[in-house]
Amino acid sequence: MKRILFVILVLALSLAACAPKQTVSSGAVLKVTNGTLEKTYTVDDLKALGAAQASDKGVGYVGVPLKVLLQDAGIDPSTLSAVKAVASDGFTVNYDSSVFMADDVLVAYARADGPLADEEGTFRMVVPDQGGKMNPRMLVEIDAIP
Amino acid sequence: MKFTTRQLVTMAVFGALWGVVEISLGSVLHAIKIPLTGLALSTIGLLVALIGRLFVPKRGSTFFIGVIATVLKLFSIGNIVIGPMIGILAEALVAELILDIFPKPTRLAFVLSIAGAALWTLIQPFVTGLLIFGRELLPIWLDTLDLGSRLFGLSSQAALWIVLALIILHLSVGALGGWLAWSLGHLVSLRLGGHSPEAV
Repeated sequence: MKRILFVILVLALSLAACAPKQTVSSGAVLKVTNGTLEKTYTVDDLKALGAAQASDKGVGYVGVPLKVLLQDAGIDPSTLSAVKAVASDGFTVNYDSSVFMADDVLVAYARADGPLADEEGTFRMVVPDQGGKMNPRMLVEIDAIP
Repeated sequence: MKFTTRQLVTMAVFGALWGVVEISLGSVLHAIKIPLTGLALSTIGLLVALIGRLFVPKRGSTFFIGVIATVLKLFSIGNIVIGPMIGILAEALVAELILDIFPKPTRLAFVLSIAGAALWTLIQPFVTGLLIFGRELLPIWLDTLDLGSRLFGLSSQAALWIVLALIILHLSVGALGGWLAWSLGHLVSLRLGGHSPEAV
């Protein structure tokens, strides 16, 4: 029994050691970059870019289409092979062109009926009809991948 | 293959246990988006299933347990469960195929079967992403590299090392799960009946 407990302990410690490092700082600023170009946005900056609406799981969101944001940052989305969304806890998800070129894929800064919930952070991705993994909250960075 | 009523009930019990793990722990882990959720769940689930295998040491029993767990996963909290359901079924199938190579359950068979099934969790996003969720290969590949990069602190450019490290991690965790399943199975059996399972 002791041996089994020891193995369970080793297993738990191994998995804990694999926990992701919190390398990305959180904050009220969203960074959009392709490695060479870099631009940061506040909520007011995004509001100035537009107020498109999309809903996910029955909740309406207001934000800027991802492709519009990329264009504003000086990045041509049609030349990209993928776009990565990075959350403040280091979680990442990569989108292919069918996602990041869609009109209803938003970088949201508010809900349709008010501000984003605390746990959603200042910005979040909204990719309608996709799993939660594709809709990271606490968004802090958008990486354009050529 | 034919099972007795007692064996069917036993498999249903272990399938239900696996299903409960998936519904409860699985829903929580998926919701908080911690990495390697699939690996942790498949190892725990198969650990339960392989303990069941000790009690019903017949071809097909592990897969049957997986089918029960898959059906229960339908009642999971949250929206999309098709991915996890395919995962459970595929893991049970992989474990079953490896177990069937051996004439009777052994510790080595248990270690290899959960290790093999754990490896499936690394491959599954490619299969379900491409075939079911309509994703392209590149973003799935990039997600995998990002995961490895975060876990091991490697540059996402070091693709080969990341993939190797992920494979080793999955095989190791699965192997530990298999080793544990064998020991726990015997302990459970001794507690229940005072003797080892019929396989031994």
